[in-house]
Amino acid sequence: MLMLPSYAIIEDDFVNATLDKNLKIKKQKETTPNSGIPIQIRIKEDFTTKSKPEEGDFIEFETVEDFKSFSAGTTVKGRIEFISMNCIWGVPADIVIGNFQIGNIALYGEIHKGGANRIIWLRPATIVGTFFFGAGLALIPIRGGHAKIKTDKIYTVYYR
Amino acid sequence: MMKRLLAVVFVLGMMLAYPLSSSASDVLLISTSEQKKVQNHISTVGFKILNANELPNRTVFIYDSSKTINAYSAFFGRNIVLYRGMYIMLDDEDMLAAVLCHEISHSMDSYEGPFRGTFGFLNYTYAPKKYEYKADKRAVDFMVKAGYHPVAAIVMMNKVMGQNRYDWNSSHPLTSRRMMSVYEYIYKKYPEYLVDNKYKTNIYYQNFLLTSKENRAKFQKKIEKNSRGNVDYL
Repeated sequence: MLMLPSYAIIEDDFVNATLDKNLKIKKQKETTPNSGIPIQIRIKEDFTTKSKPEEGDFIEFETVEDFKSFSAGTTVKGRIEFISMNCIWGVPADIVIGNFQIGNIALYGEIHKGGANRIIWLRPATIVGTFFFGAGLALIPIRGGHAKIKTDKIYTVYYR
Repeated sequence: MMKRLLAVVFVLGMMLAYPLSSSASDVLLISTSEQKKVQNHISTVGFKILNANELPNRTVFIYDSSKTINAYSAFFGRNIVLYRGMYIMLDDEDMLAAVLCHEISHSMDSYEGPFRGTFGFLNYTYAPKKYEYKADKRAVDFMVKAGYHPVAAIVMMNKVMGQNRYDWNSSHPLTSRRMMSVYEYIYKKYPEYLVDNKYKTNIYYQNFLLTSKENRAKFQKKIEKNSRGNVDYL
């Protein structure tokens, strides 16, 4: 790797000023796909990206059945790992929720959810509509669907 | 009239002939054993990432020996192609992982949507920047889970990718914006990698620190004000 002599080093003052200098990289656990004890969870309240959540926000889920010393209905916190909002041309929103925790115990698994992909009908409708005095162009601002997670949907995460 | 017609035919002929001649000279002559070695390296790193992230969908990695400095994920074949031109620009395995993780994210997206994701390419056609940002950020997650250093993504971009004047007419956002989006993502989710940063003195990362001063000041303001929403990076 090409390195600079120490006298020429540019420091990242922002990182130095705002982050704890003692932070250390944790070694990632080697795992077998989908191994561990499966735990079924569901969201506590209906969730949609309409509320403009951001990466890093937490969402509350609850266990469906008893697990170890935790009874059914215990809160499981999930973090929004990635989010991208819906856009014009019917492109849907996407969300990934992960980093689940029950008490202090980390759980493994992610929930991916996308909104309604309206581009499938919007694109042909726009093309056809354009032949009618350009009316199809009025469809372009239609946005894709928001990603929604409903309370009746059950997801599986894993305890290792 | 005839002269004009001939001129048009000549120009069209030249346009057709040019890509053929250039693509032939693009291919570098390298031995099969070297090619096999590189292919194995790319496949090993790629599959390590897929397994470590427990990704449920298939994709494969293909090495192409032409000089093009690029990599792409084929939407229909679900294979990830990495050109030799790109491979030789990568200094270490973390940088290779950064490229592959970005493409893996695109490949995984191709499985989403009705009819096994058949129409997903339309999303990429009409909102390509959104998916580029997504792939950059997911690449960071994939890298961390596979044991790679995510700052390598910034190093790779700063070394390899050019800087357009504007991005309104491009499928990809400005590289400076992409690097800041990755930096912001690492800062929020994996700050330990910015503190315990093995690329601190790497010249390409140093250049990023030099050229992103204004953008990082904008990000600092966002953090200090605890504000939400996207920062308009330069």
